[in-house]
Amino acid sequence: MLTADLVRGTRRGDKLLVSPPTGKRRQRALEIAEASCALTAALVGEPRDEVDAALQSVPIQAADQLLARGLQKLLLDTCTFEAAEGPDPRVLREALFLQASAARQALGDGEHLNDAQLRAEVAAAHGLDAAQIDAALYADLKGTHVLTAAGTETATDLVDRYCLALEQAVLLRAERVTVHLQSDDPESLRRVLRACKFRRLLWRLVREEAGWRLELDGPVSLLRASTRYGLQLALLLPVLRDCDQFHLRADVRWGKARTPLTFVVDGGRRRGARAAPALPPPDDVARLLEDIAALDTLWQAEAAVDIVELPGVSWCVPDVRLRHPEFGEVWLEVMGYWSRDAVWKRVELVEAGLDRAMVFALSSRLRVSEGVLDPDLPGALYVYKGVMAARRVLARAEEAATAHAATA
Amino acid sequence: MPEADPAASLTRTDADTAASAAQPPIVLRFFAGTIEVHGLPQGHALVPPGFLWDPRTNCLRADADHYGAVALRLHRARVPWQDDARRWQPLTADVAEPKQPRPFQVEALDAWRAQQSRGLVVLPTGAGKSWLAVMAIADRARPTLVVAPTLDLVRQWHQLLEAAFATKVGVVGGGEHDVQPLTVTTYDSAWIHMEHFGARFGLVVFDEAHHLPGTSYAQAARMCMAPFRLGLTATPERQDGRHALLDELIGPTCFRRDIVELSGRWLAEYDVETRVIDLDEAERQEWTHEREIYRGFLRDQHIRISAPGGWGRFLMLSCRSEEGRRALAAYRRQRALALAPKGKFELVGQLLHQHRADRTLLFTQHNATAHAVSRRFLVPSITHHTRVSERTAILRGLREGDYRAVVTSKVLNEGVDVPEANVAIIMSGSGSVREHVQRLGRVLRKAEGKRARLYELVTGETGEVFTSTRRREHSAYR
Repeated sequence: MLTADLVRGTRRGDKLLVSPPTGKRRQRALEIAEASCALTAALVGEPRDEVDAALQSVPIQAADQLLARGLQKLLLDTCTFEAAEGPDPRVLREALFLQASAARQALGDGEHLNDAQLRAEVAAAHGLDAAQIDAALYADLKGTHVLTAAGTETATDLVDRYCLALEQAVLLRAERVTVHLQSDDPESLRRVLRACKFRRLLWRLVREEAGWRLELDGPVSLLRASTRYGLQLALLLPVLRDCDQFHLRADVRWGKARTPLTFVVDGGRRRGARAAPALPPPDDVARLLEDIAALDTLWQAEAAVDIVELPGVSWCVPDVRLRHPEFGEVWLEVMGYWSRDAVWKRVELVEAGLDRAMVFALSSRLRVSEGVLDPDLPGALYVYKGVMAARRVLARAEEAATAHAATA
Repeated sequence: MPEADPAASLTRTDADTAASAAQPPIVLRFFAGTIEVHGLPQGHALVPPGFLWDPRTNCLRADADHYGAVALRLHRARVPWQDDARRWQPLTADVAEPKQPRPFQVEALDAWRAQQSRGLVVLPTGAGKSWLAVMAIADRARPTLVVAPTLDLVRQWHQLLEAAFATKVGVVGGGEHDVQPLTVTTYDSAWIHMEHFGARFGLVVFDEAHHLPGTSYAQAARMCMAPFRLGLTATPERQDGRHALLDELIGPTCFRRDIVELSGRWLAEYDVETRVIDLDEAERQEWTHEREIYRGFLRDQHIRISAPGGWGRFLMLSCRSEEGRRALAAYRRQRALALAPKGKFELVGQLLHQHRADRTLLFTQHNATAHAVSRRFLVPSITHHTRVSERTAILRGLREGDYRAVVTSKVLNEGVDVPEANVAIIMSGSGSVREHVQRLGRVLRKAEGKRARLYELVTGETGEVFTSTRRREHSAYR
């Protein structure tokens, strides 16, 4: 990802604009990308300092310096650098410096340390020539690491990634984001919401006439400008790009003065482009699905694909759909340990009357007891410590389903 | 203030079900680094300044550091309220082996207590700031979070607290996440995790507290509920002026002693010697040539580097033309020549020989110079690249006498405790008074018969002379 210092933003009124390279500038970007990719491919086996120096020699116009640094940063992020083979530099240093220290202390006035002899002795003891020891001594420094694999991206892909990274770099400075999603595809929306959940963002989803409005922020944003959630917001952008159409508006703090500005991104999936494959369920949910499948039970579990409206609260993204020939359908939302407040909202919802059977799984770290919900209600809390237990989840599902059937 | 009832927070509180109750009780909750007040309307007389109405959760919200103020108001008003926020109990551990405090440590503790146990103590390195913190923890008997800037310091605090209180001490940072009633963490980890554990400590100690006013770190202090706060530093002043924030984040300075006040009895006596080195002829020619390129660009572009924003303008314009790029390269080269000329290396060699029986710390401005010194004189180096285990081994070697010299760039500037070190050589550095005082502080820890010596190597007739004058603007160097 690009850092903010590699992005030149232009201010127009209270708006911040970044300009992805287009036209002739894009052509120059492609040339820089091509030359840089070719160089890294040719320099496999060379130390990082050499690779850096070579990349700096790529001819660029003075105005394209930032562009080149950004492209090359992204390129280097995809390269693999490893310490060169040889004796462990730390062991080598320790041996040489301890010997040198002892030798220096033993010197009399007017005597000089014979460092060449020391180097030769330690080098020989570690299977090196005396000439090799200086290079080997600090072979673990980043600059001496050897390029073992260059990135395989094409110049076009690198420039495209650069364009996305420019917008992400601005979002690193975001305090609050509102996204209008125009998508009829439940999987796209689900993907976005799951990404929000995964990134531990606080979000609200509101149904609009033409799509959805998603508001993202954190508790501290009420009190002051905070870019604390910027990284999570930036990482959300690639997921949004896969929606049919979106309009993102971010409140950002930009520059050294942290000036409050608005940043807008409009975009969506390119026409004709394929939708990304469905995300696999999170690890804890995948494990739960496996555990339930391994049980001798009539319950069937699958990753949920629906978005469920919780009237008066918002919309929720259940993680698992449970089905049973006798008990019917029960939804499970894994809330983990991300928000105690969100749990209380769901408790209130269940008490107000829920139109389906639901189980909310939450970590014991949220310090909420299962007992806060009456067993006669169609919603149940399942509190777990560490890992969800399949049998306990199903027991809670049965209770919720039974209560739901009784109230229906 | 009601004592927190752990059982109450395990089940749903009255406030959560009391929608129909005529007068819902007042409940305080900690949420993600903020304090929520439920059951009081906006603008109520019991609500201290700093709280805002949060329509998202229908409650009042403020930074967690407002906990003490609101709890005190509710307590004094004698209204019923429930504390779901506080997640600490009194600390049961006591100092295992008390030692006689120094008189100024007792004075400092009294001054801190007189300020509602909030405030900054300014004492020079080696004066016993850490033990003062131990005294404060024992005095307040609250679970305590100690925040330090580096992993080395975290380890030192961990050892000190475990020895002092004979109890398990938690560590958060450097791959560890173990929260105990006494816990040590880094500023970075505090910023990341305070929203999770900010309600678990009644006292927070900020070591090297001058780091705290940075934008992110300040947020960590605000997200912590601890009403009692102790800041420790030898050098509170910051060039950006943000030290003024320390009053709000920790409390006002309650006690201050300078190096010269403690030198002799509580700190080692010391001498400071500045050695001026000349560039050799070839270096001088190159320095003059490169400097002329740099200054010529400044003239052509009408940049006054000492003017506000002058440096930023130079950097901006240097990116826009070939001449600018050459000027930037020329600036770097002439500076590199001034910071590390051949003459300095020769003098370092002589000093290492002269002090071969002493324990010497060499300080440089850049890592590259530190590595160059290490390679040439075969002394271990510590930079931010050095792994913690190797750093520990080197410092142990220096303490035990296996090594007699260590070269470092900036990572040993503060906090790291090597009492045996008695010689400091400043090969190069910035113009920061704080950095220079901290470097001197590394060799001032008191030991029997110890007299410390600090050498400052300055390249004559270069910008380094001005840098040296600036950084010596402190009573310790007069």
